[in-house]
Amino acid sequence: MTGRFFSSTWNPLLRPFAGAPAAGGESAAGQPRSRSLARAVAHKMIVFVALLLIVSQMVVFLAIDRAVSANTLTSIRKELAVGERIFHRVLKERSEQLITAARVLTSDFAFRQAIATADQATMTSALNNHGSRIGADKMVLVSPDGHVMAAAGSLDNILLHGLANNFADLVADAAQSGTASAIRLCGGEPCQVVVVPVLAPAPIGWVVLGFGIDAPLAAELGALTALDVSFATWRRTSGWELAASTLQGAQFERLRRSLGKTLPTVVLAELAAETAEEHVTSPAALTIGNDHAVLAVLQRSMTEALARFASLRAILLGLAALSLGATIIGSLIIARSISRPVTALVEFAQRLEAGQYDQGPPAGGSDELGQLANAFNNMRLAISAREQQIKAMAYHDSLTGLPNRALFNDRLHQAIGVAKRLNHPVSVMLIDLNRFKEVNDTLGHHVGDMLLREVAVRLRGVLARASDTAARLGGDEFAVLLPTAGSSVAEDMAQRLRRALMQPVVIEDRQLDVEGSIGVATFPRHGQDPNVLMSHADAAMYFAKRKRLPCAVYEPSHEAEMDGSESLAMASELRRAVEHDELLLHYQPRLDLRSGEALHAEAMVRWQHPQRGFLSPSEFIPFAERTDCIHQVTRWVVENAFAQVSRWRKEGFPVKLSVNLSVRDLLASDLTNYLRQALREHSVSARWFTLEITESAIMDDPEHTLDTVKQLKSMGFALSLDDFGSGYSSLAMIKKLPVSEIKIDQSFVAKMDSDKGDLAIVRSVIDLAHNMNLEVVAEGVESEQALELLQELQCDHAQGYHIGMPQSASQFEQWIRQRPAPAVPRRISA
Amino acid sequence: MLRIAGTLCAGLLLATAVSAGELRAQVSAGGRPLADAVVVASAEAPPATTQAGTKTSTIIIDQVNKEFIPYVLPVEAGTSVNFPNRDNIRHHVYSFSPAKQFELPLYIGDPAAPVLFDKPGVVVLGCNIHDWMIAYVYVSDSPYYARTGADGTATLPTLPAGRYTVRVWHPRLDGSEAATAKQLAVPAQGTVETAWEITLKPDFRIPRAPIPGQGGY
Repeated sequence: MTGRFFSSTWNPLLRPFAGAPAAGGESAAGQPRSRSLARAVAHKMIVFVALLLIVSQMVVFLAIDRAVSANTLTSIRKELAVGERIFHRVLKERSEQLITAARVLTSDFAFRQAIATADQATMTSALNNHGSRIGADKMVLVSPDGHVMAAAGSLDNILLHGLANNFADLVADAAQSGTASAIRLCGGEPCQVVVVPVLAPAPIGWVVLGFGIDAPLAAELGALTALDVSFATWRRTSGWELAASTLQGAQFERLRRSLGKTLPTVVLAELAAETAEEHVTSPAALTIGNDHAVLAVLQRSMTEALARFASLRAILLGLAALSLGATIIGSLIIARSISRPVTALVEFAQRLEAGQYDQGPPAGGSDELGQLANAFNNMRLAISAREQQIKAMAYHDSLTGLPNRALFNDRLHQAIGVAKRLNHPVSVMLIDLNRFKEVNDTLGHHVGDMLLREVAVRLRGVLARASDTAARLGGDEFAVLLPTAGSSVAEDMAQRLRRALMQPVVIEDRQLDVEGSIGVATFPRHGQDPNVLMSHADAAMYFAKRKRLPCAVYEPSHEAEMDGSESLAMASELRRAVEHDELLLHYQPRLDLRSGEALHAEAMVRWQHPQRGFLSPSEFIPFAERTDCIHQVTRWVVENAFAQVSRWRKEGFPVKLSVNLSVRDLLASDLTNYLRQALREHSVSARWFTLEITESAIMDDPEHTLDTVKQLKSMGFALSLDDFGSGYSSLAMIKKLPVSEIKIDQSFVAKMDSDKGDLAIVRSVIDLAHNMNLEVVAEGVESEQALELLQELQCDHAQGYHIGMPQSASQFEQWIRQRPAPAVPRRISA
Repeated sequence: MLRIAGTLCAGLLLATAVSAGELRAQVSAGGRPLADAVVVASAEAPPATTQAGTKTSTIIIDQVNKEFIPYVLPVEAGTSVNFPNRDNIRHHVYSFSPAKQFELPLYIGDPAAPVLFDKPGVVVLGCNIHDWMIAYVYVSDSPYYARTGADGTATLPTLPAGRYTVRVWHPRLDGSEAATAKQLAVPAQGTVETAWEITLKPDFRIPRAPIPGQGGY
């Protein structure tokens, strides 16, 4: 019983209430889940819209970028073409200017005079002087017949010798058309060469002037054309060189590399075909010969041109970023406006899950979400109502309407919690109805139910305070919680309860006597823990039941007798006891009141416990009866009783023995076979034995037991109905039973001399038995008066301390031998 | 050209005093008659120097309208030529030719003295103010010379009979003058005819300044 009190057979429906921390934990984990769900919706939306926007923006951007690039390329090509025209024009004009300048130079009288009349040194000097005036780098004077007369400027000797050849064609040209101009390579340097005559006034020579094509010229041309201008020279002997360029650094190097080592014509084609990322190139051959060439390379920087569109690009990107941001924010707002109510609903649903029904769902509008919220609210109210019902069912006993074990335990926990803080006692009472099972079995369950309901009403009636709780724990077991009562108050209350229960209960015109055993345990004296308290109350109750007391307040000794944990140990100890013959039989003599003989005894088992000493049957038989141990105990008793009788008979003692059988023994299917075999083994007669069975043993399963009992009777055993009057045996049942005697319960006999009622009962039983042709045995005869009374009442047999204590076989032998002659005369004298 | 006829006639008249023949030379270039070519005849046997000291200084080269006139003037070595300026602007006549280098700095009217051409050779004349002005003085070592007219014909009327080396020269003559030399016998009476077909170098004359009156370069 005690073990089941808090065996946590929780109703799953109660979990949300009782297991609040667990449920809280779940909802705590569930909350973020709902938010993340709503967030996931928002995120999906944002991601979709953002991706769409990014793709469309990218398409637009790429289209614009491509158009811009194409446009830029076209415009660069145009610029390049224009620049090219300007370049050539400028070069031409430059050559004209140079010619003009040269002519002015050669017209100078002094110059002509110096040339015409002076020696070579003077000529060279004049040439140098006058050439420098117009910035010529190289100056050569060629005679009309083609000989070099003088040279000046940056010319070395090797050049000087080659000059005639180098410029012969130009001079011839000039002789034809007055002047000549060309771009030539002079000593590896590109030059613009002009040839003008020296007239006096007929030509007396030709002045060849070379103007270097150098970085300043490239820069000037670059500034005019807005292009990058480079001049590349090629000589068969030494390959390509970049003579002058507006390009710088890496670009310069790039161009130089792209010139390679190929022939000028190839380079021209390659450069023209080159579609560089950075430049659009237009090469032009300024002069091209077998062993030399001068190229002009005009380039328009792509990056520079595209840089103009960089701001446009930046604006586009900015707009894209702005619209993307706006879209994301907008999507977020829209997604939130959807996800927020959804989140709220999810949270509401989670509150429902956690069992919080007090709060409705968030108020929604008239849209779908609002309707959903309304539906949720209706659901909440319905669930709440149903849960109230379930709660009531879960916490109350449906039969009596009293709180059930679960509610009682809750309240006990609470009460002890409060008591610990406020330092006051708490008492619990356990009430077990005596013989309720018999009522149920004999009168039917509906009577039993009505009885329980009546008990519940009476319990409620006695409890005055609202805080006191009466509960039905199950079956015929009730409990009362007195949250502020100490032991004495509880005992008072127990007495009042008992009195209330003692009032006869009338059900279907039957009057039933209700009796209960009450066990009391008080916090903190008898235990700090609710479980301990309950088990102590249980122990006290069992103590009261065993001792047939109305009420018992817990004492530690109770527990020693009946402790849950001990019972298991006891089971094994008992088994060991049977195996090691720790048990022994005592024999209590029974007096035949008519003959005065005492040749009948009741065999009573004792346990010589190694630690606890002698244990009486009441201390272990009830326990053994609850387990299967009783079979072994019974068989041990039967074996030993049969053996003893066999021994005595051989020794000449014609003793008969009574042996007790329990319910379980009767229910065992092989009882009769076993007894038959035991009789054979010990060579004893069944007629020497009386088997004692209790009323209750038969009431448990009347059909089967009746059958068994009949078989035992047929085997020759005498049968005795033990503890008669303590149960609910009906006379009809006694009539059916093949018993030969009735043993009146000692409770009647013991107080027979003082209690008229008991005396009447004893008398009636004796009369009744005699009328039914049964013999009567009175137990518990403890005084001479009782014995005399019984003799008066014509009782057949008497048993009790007054006649003889239960004693060992040898003592019993001695007791018989020492006994005076049969006391028949006493009876007669009485 | 007619203006120098008098001078020529004087020389010829002297020659007619002895028995003399006439040399008529036809000069053409590209099949067309070539003016201003000088035809010179040198006697193989040097003549008597009777004519020395008879030269007068009446020969002139005018400067009219910023042009030298005549364009080609053949003279015998030892002849002085005067360069009267008929324009109302100054001229600066010069020559860097090896045969005669001289300079008549800016002047108006007649220069102070005539220029004596005493060495045979071609003297190119120019004006330092006007580049296009050009004239040639052919200083001949022989007294027998003549200049072709517009018809390309030059006539040496009174050549003493004898053998002559005849050459032709022109400002644009392609090749040397000596290459044109021919041997001729001139009879005492009558006319010897000869002809040259010469090639010319490109005309290399500087055009006049575009706006007259403003001067050249």
